[in-house]
Amino acid sequence: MSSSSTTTTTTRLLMLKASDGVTFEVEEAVATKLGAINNMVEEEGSEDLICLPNVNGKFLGMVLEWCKKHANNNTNSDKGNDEVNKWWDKEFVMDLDQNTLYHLLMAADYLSGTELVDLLTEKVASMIRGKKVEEIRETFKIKSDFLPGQEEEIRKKNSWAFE
Amino acid sequence: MSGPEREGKKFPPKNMSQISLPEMNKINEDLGSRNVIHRSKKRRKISNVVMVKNDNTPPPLDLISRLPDDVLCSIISRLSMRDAVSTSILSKRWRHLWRMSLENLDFDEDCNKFEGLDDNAFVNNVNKILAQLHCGTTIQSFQLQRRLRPPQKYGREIYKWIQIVADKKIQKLDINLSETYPELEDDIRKKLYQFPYWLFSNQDKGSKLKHLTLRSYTFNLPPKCSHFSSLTFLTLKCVPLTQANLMNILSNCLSLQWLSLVVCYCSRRLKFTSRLCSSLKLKHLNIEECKKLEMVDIRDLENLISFEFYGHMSIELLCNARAPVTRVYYERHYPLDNEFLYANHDLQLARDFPQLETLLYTSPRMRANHMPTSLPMFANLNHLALILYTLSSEKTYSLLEPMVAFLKASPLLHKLELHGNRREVELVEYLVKRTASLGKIQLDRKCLAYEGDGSPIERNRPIAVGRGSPWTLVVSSIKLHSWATANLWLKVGFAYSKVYLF
Repeated sequence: MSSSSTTTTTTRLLMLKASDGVTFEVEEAVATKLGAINNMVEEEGSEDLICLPNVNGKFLGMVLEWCKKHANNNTNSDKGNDEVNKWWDKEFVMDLDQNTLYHLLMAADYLSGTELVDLLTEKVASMIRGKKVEEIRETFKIKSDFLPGQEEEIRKKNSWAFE
Repeated sequence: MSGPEREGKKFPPKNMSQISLPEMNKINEDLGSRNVIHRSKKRRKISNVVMVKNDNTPPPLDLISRLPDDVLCSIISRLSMRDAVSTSILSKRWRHLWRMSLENLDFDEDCNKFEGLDDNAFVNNVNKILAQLHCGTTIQSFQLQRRLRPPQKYGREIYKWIQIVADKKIQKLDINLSETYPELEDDIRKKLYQFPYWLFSNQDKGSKLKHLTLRSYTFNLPPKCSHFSSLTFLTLKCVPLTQANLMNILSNCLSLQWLSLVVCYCSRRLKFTSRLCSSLKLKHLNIEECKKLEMVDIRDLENLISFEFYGHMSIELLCNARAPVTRVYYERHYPLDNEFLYANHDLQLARDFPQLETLLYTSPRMRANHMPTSLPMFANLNHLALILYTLSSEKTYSLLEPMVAFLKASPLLHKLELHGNRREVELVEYLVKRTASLGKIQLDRKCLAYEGDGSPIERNRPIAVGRGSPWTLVVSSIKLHSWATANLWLKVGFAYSKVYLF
């Protein structure tokens, strides 16, 4: 996208190939925000083309978008930027539908993007907080598969949490 | 019910960067001004992602339950104890997850629905939850807030809990066993629980414990004890503290940066020093309403940045003018009929803390005749916050004269806060006339007080109104402001960028 590349001349570019063949050309500093890629790059004689058969192009694109934002802002680490990053993150997760959220989480987890996993799990947690069990089930379409009476038994065990 | 304040991660708690004065400006979360993220509208077929059907439309599927265990655990670890436990009946997939992911255990009787339980039921619940936690998991924090008495009856249970959480490499422990500050008379002190510090021993290194808050406990470390080598924040409330205790704490807790002593029952003289030659790392010290105290010696605290003191007028303070203290909270209480003595103490602030930049100063009855017309210079003071409180029956006095003494002594001041409403009209008038550049006057009907250790509290009681009601004040200050912009001159020679009046 339009983000200007850093002025350093020695920027290494990596090609990331998603499961559906879509490739992304990204700066090393951006891609190494992801622990898995960082490990691959640090290996000696690593190639510039990295295949990621477990991640779909759409979600890889979003993950990399997040990486780009956070890699850029790492270089000048003042407090104002921290705030901007927080806002950006908040908007990044604001309107995610559950399908996207799920795939992003899977991708971020697979690529060991720890900070991104934190951001997304916090988003999911915020969808759970303060809700009753029935509401959580409704939100995430979770079906209870307990045997009759089993649920009641578990409820009883920690009854204070369900009152 | 489940207000947002009890939600979310309470960890990590306050750190040094949060030692600041009550900042009133909330960040305005203007979402619209930010970049809009461009997302590709094009849908691609999901091919290789684990276990998902290749539908074009998002199916009404339970996707969340398909996330790997570690991701679900990370989600649950962010929930309050109550929310985490309630995930156990979502479905079989979720049943046991909370047991390995619960990180913050909060047995505060106010939240988590424990308030209706009697002591035995409460204790049973804590036992049950601790027993359900997977062995081998670590926890971040354990908070126990409950008056469990007598110690003979519950001592063994609490001991067991501490043992369990110590084994789980706990980082933050907060135990409060009384809801009120007891009068720490000798016989009651004997009945206090004893903190089992020995449970935190670890063969290789000290424990991971970083934060420890104890209330109504005794905390007596032996002269040599390496269990608390990671301890950074220590708050003791209603804890008996002798000089020897203090020395042992400071000599053993080598990472200690934050120490707060609230209503502790102290030796007459407390010297903050260590047996070791290395200098103490302590950066923040709060001494609040400690009993029996007559002298406080902080001359050895060479790295102290923030000092808070609230105590009787007679307590002697021995300070080190070379310590880099830039922030002070200061309040002394005086008997009602003894109003003329305290200016002397306050005069010492400038001498004791020459590097002072931020002063939070509470005075019950600030009057002209308490302040000499000239104070020693606060050469570096740039932020002064005055918290004034009046009994509504009490006569109010003009702030002008005592304030002017402060202002004249603070050439670099650029932010002034007044909390509590008094006869400020004269003061505003004065400020406006004598100030080179008045950036902002903010008025607020909130009455703010200070709780100590960096946290402001809002008082709910109605504020004591002085001669002018707050609304009059707004009008006068605006009028004065526009009038004064033409007449700006500084006889005193200080420049304000902001004036806050609360």
